[in-house]
Amino acid sequence: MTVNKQNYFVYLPWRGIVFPVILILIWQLIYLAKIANPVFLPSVFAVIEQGHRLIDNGQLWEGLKASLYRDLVGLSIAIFLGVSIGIALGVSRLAGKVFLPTFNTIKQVSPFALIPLLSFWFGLHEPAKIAFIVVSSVFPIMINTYEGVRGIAFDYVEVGRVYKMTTFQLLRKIILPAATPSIFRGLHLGVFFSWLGTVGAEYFFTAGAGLGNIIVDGRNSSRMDLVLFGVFVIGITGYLLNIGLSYAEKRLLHWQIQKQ
Amino acid sequence: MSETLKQEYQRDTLKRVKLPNFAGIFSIKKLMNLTIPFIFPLVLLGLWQLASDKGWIAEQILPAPAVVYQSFLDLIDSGVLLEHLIGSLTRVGIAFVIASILGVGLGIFLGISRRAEAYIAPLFEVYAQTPVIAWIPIGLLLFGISEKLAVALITIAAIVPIIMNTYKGVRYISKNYLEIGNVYAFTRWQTIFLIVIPAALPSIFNGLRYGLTQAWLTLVAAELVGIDRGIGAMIVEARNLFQLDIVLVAIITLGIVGLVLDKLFVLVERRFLHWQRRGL
Amino acid sequence: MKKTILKFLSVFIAGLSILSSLQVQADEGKPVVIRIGFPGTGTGNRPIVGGSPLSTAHLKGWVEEEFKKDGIKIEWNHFKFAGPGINEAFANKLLDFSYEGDLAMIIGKAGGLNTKVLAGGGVRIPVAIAVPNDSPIKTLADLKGKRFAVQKGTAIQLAEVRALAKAGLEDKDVRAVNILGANATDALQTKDMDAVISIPYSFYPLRDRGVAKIIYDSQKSGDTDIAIAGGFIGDDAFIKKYPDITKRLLKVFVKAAQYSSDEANRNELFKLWGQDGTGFQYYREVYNGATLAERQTPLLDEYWFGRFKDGIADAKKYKLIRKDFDVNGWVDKSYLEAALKELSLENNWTAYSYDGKPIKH
Repeated sequence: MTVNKQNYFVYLPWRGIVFPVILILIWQLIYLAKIANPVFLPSVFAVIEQGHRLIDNGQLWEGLKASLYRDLVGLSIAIFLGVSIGIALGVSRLAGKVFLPTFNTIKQVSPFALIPLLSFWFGLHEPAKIAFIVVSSVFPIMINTYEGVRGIAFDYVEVGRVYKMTTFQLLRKIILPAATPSIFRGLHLGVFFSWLGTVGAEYFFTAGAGLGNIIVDGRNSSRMDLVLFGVFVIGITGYLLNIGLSYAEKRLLHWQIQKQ
Repeated sequence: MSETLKQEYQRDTLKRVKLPNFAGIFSIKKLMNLTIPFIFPLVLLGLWQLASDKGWIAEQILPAPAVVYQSFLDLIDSGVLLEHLIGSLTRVGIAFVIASILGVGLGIFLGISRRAEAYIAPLFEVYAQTPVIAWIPIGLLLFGISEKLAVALITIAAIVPIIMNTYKGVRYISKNYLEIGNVYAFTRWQTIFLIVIPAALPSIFNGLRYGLTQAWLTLVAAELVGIDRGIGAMIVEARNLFQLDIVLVAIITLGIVGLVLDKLFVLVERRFLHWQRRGL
Repeated sequence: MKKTILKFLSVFIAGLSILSSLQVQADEGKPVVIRIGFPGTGTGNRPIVGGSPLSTAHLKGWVEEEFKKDGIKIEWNHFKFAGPGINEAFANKLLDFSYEGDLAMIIGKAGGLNTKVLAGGGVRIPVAIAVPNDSPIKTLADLKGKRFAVQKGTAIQLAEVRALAKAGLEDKDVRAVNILGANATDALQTKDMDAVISIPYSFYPLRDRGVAKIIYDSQKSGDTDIAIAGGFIGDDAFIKKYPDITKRLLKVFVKAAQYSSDEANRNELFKLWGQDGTGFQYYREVYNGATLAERQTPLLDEYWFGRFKDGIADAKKYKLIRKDFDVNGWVDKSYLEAALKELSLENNWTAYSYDGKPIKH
């Protein structure tokens, strides 16, 4: 019986904090020793102070809200499209053969290259950013769902056939549950790419509110403390999003026997 | 005896669709399998042509296929496309090699040592979820606007799946394998090289493959920050000069080259892992 | 499972409604909104840009005032990617009017955009090249083989190729890299770029901090053929559909141009424009030795035509556009003339001939 360490958040946190703390100390030492240009490597306290300021004047909250909103809307659309298309492609072998090669090619193209095309369909502001997020995250979800459906051991499907289930019942009772680990793998990727898309959209599209914009503003006014604080918040938020998904996964899959 | 078996076989195969077989090499089924992947792209091409004929989308945003094809030929002729492609491939290549070495090494380390895992894994998790874009301002600070920055950004992004998959592969090796090592009283290094790595190899290759995909995807973003040779740079320049046909050539190139890289990697993977299948 | 599906569906529908809200439905006689653009953003990405009659009109709120009684909203768009971004917006039918620099306008039109030039405003704008303070680069010729930051597709790029040509260099001889706005000036500080070309006031803060020095200023060297020209353009479809609105918009533009050309308003004006982050002092410095009128004139005079004819020829020569076009068919002077007449400002500005000499009436 091996301990299942897939859920990091169950960890005792203090050992995990040691390393980051050491890094922060090194950072502060570099700053104090004035090895790097102070404009570009501010003191740890300056960053914390910036953070304080942003929290106080509500900017952090505004940015966070805006970014999360964009992210979740885009992610939801991507999940809806990705899972449904993935299942459709997985169930119908023909559809899979027809569409999958093309999707495999499209997924190699970075969404950043598609920005000029997106502006046509979605304009310059929020809808375009959300579309960008959808494009960034839909393919991992779709492909992993497809693989999950395709990779189901034939035995499971046989059981369904024996019970003379309709396709829909087959779907609900056998295919989806069996494909769920794969689907969740895709969802993890989807969460990651949607957050990547969110920050990317805020960096490269027109101005608006968001965490990415905080970094851009900091960069433009050469306030590295602002930038570093922004990076920190972005990282933590991405991490929390992933944790949230893992938690949901754990709840949904508690009946799964862990493979060894 | 062989006659009846042959008859039996023929009877069985007749149940499936009987397709003509040209000289035993070319079966229509094989032909169908080769052409099916192209149906959808051809439909899209047709839609594209229709859209530009009817003017559904402004020609500045989506130029007609013929224009794009012409630009494609021009770019190949002038050698420009190849130049940019080589620039991009070099960048991805270097970054991928660095990411692979560091990634596999770190992944093995994290997988073997519980203590290392306890100390490093949480920070790594946060790092893994941070979009590459967030590192751009910091990267600019450390590397300035240079080739090194682009390579660094790609490495930062590509190393994540490599580490994660390597770690998972090492961590979840069947206990049985490790017991064999105990039985033979392997040293730590022997265990690593003779048992851990081979057993984790499928996962490692999986991670490397994802890493390659990530590297290719991050390439464009990394090149947006001021590089003069590369597909991303080509896109930026063409977009600024309002030549979206060149942008489309770049996009299609990105897709196809990316696909080719992926398929090549799978071939390499198969060669390395062919012994695995026999084991099963 | 069902609950999650429902949740996703509702968000999906919400998403769709967001998407559908982007199309602006115009009714028969009047548009619901007029969308106007600016190349570039102010410091820290703020949506304020000074330096042209359009800026004045924006900052004084005169356009909103004019169209308030019709209930028409005015949407101001500041494009981080400057000219190229504006061109894309026009192509996507997301913009109705804009101020643009010469090269960007030319590229757009050559690329097939259906725009019409309605007025000038923003001509003889100088450009400068700056290098890090301790750089060995002293003349234009020294730029050979160096990393040169240029905002490609904008009027700055045209000035760049022209300036290089003066030193006998070609774009190929330098390593021209495309950098977005503020990042370029930062690059001087970190010495990632050997040189940057831009409008002079971008460099003044760095110069005053001792970080960079300006090695070339087109105004100081008297290179009037390198100065940037610009204009006010509009989407032809919009103009044809709403000629009255266009006329009234030009009226506001001309009024703003008059205000921006009146020397009595000099200090006020610099304070007004300075809100984009450049500040009063630096606007004053970049206008040192120049009159307001000569840069803010909205007239489409011979000089303007000459600059643009040259611009088109040069753009074609340096392979920035693939086919040229006739500037005459591109311009529609009627709205400008109507506005001048209505405000009785026909003689407010001097018209100049191609070689820069005033035309005496």
